[in-house]
Amino acid sequence: MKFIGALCLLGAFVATSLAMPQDRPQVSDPIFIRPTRPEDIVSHRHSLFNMKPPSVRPASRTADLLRSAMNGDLPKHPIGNENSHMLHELMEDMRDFFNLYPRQEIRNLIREHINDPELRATVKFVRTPEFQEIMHAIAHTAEYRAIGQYFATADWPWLQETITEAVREFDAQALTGE
Amino acid sequence: MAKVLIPVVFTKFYPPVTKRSSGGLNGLLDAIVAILPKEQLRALFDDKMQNRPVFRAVVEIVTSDELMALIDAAHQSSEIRTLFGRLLNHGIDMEKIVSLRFALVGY
Repeated sequence: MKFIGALCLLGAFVATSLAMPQDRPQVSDPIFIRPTRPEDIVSHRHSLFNMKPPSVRPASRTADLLRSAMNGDLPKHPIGNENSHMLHELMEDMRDFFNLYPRQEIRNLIREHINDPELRATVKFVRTPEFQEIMHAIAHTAEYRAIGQYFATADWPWLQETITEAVREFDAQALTGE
Repeated sequence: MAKVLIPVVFTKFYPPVTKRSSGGLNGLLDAIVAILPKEQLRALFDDKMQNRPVFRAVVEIVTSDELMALIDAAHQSSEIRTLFGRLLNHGIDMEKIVSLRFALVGY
């Protein structure tokens, strides 16, 4: 039950990151998530470069884990660093999973379900301001902010961005085959 | 001849669509999870955990006790439960969406 709760909140975290109307591409449809455009990545990188680092970054177990994993050879903002291999390695791993999916069967399933009135109502709802308002409200709860703070104080604030970036590309590839 | 062949070919490549409800978004997600090669995904996950340091680090971070405690607290929040409930009323089950995401990587 605890694990399901964890999954649930992590999902909200990632979904809210994807749905927030900041300087990132909009997700207009929960099924056909638009692939990331190169220009979006560029603007996203700029926002990361401009990000002000916290003045004090306490050491934590998270940072230790990553340091030991990478022998202390981690750049501060790997998304914006072309030499970084972290995101690249993570995406390679994701692609290995992606290659195992029965993509044609998934496309057929989507085609079979696409005219389901219930599903269409959900898709319609995702395009309404009410959905944006709910996602905005979730992102501004104290509990959600605490989760965001966990990544920030873990000395690796980019991790959330890395995961969001990986999940976006992963979804686009998995569900649209692009 | 064409009158016979065209519908047959069309049906083969474009399965008939249904206008009746098949469970909405949840039904679709269930159907996708059902056809995933779970054993292969699990084996790949285990292999990645052993051999890929970045993958392992990310998994350890998103399943750390520290983060679990924060998520547990958030799960108890009445405000978040209310908001999730509003999404559920419109057919969006956050729990299911994330389950799919984890199922996709064999977790």
